[in-house]
Amino acid sequence: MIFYILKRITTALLALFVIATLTFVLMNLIPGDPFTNEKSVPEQVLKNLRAHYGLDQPLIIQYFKYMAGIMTLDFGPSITSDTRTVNELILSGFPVSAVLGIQALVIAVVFGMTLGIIAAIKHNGWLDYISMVIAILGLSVPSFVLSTVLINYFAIKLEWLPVATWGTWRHTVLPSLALAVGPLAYIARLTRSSILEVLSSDYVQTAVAKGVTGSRLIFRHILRNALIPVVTVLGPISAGILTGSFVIEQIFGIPGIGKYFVQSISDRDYPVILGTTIFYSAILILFILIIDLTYGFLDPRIKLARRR
Amino acid sequence: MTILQVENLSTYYKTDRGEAQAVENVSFSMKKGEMLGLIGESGCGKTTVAQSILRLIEYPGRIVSGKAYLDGIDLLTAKQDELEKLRWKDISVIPQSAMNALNPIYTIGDQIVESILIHEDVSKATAIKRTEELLEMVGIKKNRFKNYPHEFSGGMKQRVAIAMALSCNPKLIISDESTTGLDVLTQAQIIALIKQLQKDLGLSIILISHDLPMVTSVCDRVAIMYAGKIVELANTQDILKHCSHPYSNGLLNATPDLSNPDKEVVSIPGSVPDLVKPPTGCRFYDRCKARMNVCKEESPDLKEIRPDHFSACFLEGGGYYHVQ
Repeated sequence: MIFYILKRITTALLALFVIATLTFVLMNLIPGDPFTNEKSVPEQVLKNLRAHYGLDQPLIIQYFKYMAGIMTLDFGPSITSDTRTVNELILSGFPVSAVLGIQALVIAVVFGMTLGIIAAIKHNGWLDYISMVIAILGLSVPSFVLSTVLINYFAIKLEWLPVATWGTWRHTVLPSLALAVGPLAYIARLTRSSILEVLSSDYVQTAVAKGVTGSRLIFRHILRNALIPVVTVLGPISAGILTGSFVIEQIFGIPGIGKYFVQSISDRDYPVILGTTIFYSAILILFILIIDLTYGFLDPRIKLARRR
Repeated sequence: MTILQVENLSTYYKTDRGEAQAVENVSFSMKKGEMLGLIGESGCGKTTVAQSILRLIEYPGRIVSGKAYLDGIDLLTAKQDELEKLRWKDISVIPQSAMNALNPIYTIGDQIVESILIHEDVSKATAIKRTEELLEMVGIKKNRFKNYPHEFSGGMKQRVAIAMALSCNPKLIISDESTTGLDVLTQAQIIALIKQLQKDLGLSIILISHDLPMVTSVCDRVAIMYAGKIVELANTQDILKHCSHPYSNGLLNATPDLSNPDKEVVSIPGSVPDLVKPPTGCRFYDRCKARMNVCKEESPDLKEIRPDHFSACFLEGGGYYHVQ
């Protein structure tokens, strides 16, 4: 098991190296550089700026310098906010996005799976229809619309919760909800279809013929089998949610890292683009590893460490 | 002593075009310690009969009418909680395709122990001990108790399924195409095992199959089904020697005979009628070589043509064109 995890971490590092290289190449293929927009700046100043950030050197030198930096976990300075480094941006923004993300994830998993289970068990009943209408609404209403509706209703009309900004736990409720609804709907639909598939399987019919009923049938014979596809999507979903959402952090004025993913690209802020991409990839790879380890516990047919 | 008495069982399936009469007016009974073969081609309603007796028919299917007395209790009208207690304790199944009939994420031992613990008030240790005995009985070493289904071959899984069916000493076991999907050698071994257990333990078994030679080699009595109805029911020797119904004749003629390699194998032309709009007369009318005018108008009932030999045909006495 430990050997397996070590092997996976090695492959993960290799993957991150490839990702960093690809991002570096793609990023430099975008026309313009961080200072293209600053029209009023004299030519000499621009030249000095480029020299300051090392952008006047050949790309291959820039690449090796950057790679050397990330070996020591130094992602370089942010060009747009010239006083902070990329490391500082991530370290200050990620905890905020992560708190929001964890709450949203808990909401999405708990309610999504509950809705899915109810819908599947009451298949074609009115509870099924209600659950699936909620799920389809959740998937199709854009998060900016939902956020505005939530703010308008719960913050402005009812005055239960603050409108925006970051501070107490009360500030986290509305953005967590807004962030959770999409994944919740997705998980609900997936859980439902997965359970329906297991319900029609031969071994569930055997269990019924054996006289297994009620919660024992649902939890022991159906749910554990049905969970595998749901667990699979939880990896990418978790990585996406934990690293924040540009739209929701903008609307609620939350100092997370979601905005850097989008802004850094339009700003051509090279170190931030690379830093956030590598960071996101690392989180994604970590979650996929966790999911793969979970499979081993859920399904005895999946053996992780293959002995030779 | 009669262990199972099925009377006028009808089960229909809802389709887009109307209800398909998958099982229509099926009646039969079986004695304790007997092995009854239920035979017919695919889609003739064999499995539906079994599932109806177990009341496992689900939407879009429904049991329209009938009774199925197991040791005096009507399974079709029993209350749900009563039924749950009866299932497996009194009537168990060796399922169709044991490949998928075992839950992939629990050990085989666990699954057998579970069925014992649900129905009997015994300690877990007793249940484990009995499970080990059952496994040995079907030819599986007891140290494989903690193995998962995917660690067994198809034939071994079928043996596990048999052990599970025996776990609560049921009054009746339904073996539903238990050997389908296995190679012929394994099939023969499994059938021999079922027969051996039936003799040793005095089990009552309904053996559902489409394999006529296999059924006639092990069963005491045979019921032949065609398009949702039983067309002939008799003890095995009578079926083989004095086969009466034209469809049964067709089946026998369609089966090669190892001891008589010169026998010409003849298939039955035509195909099964539409069960949504079954013919008013005999359901075999279109394919029958011996059809008469009356067969188109009226549907023949199962009647006793000789002691303990039933046939649903208007031909008197049967044997009309047996293996010419």
